[in-house]
Amino acid sequence: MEKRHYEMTVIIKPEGDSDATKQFAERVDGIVNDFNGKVVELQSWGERKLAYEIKKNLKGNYLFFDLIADGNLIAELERNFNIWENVLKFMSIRVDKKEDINELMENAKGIASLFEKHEKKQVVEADDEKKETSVEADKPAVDDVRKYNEELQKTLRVEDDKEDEEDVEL
Amino acid sequence: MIYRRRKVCRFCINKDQTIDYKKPEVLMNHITERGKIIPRRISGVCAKHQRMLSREIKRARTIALLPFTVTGK
Ligand SMILES: [Zn+2]
Repeated sequence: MEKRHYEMTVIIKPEGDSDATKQFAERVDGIVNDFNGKVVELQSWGERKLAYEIKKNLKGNYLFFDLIADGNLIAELERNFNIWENVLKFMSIRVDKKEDINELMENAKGIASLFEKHEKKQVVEADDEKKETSVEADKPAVDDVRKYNEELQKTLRVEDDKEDEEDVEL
Repeated sequence: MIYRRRKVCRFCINKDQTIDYKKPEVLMNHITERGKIIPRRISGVCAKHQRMLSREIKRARTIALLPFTVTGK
């Protein structure tokens, strides 16, 4: 089967310790390797408030996998996620990125180093929180709010200048 | 509720602003308090970007980064 690029987000029950997260990622990585796939990128989004209750949980621990996989592997992962009791929900998305899949697979360093990288990056971020660095690849949306609002304000200003707004009742 | 209608698509103006389910904060500006997607006739978003918004909002809902529409009450 042809290999493709997937994004897999998994919400697991918050256990309160990072070992559980790591163990989970290693378990996933094991299956991925068994099926000749590759975890290219792994992100831990941490514990987040869920927008709605899932299996009586109000919070979830988010893990995000950037994967090279074929259909069989995705099916196998989903089969397991449905069985594993600590998985609250998951979503896999096929992405059509321009990158070369073989190149991505060759350059992937394995999840141990991905975890290491993630931990290091958190330290770096903690060190210079004041600075607006561009080290954002590992971070999900959370911190982009202010930037977005600033941009939005800019946009609004542009539009205000044009005086092309009207009030509409919804 | 009165919404301010804009005739210019903010995503066309600001090319850096990505529409992505992984950035729910951006998407949140395009749903109502009840979780409904704000139609583009109100938000001024162009058809192309509205399609992307709708796709990404649905993805974000699937993994509980955004709520589904609140019904009743
Ligand atoms: Zn547009």
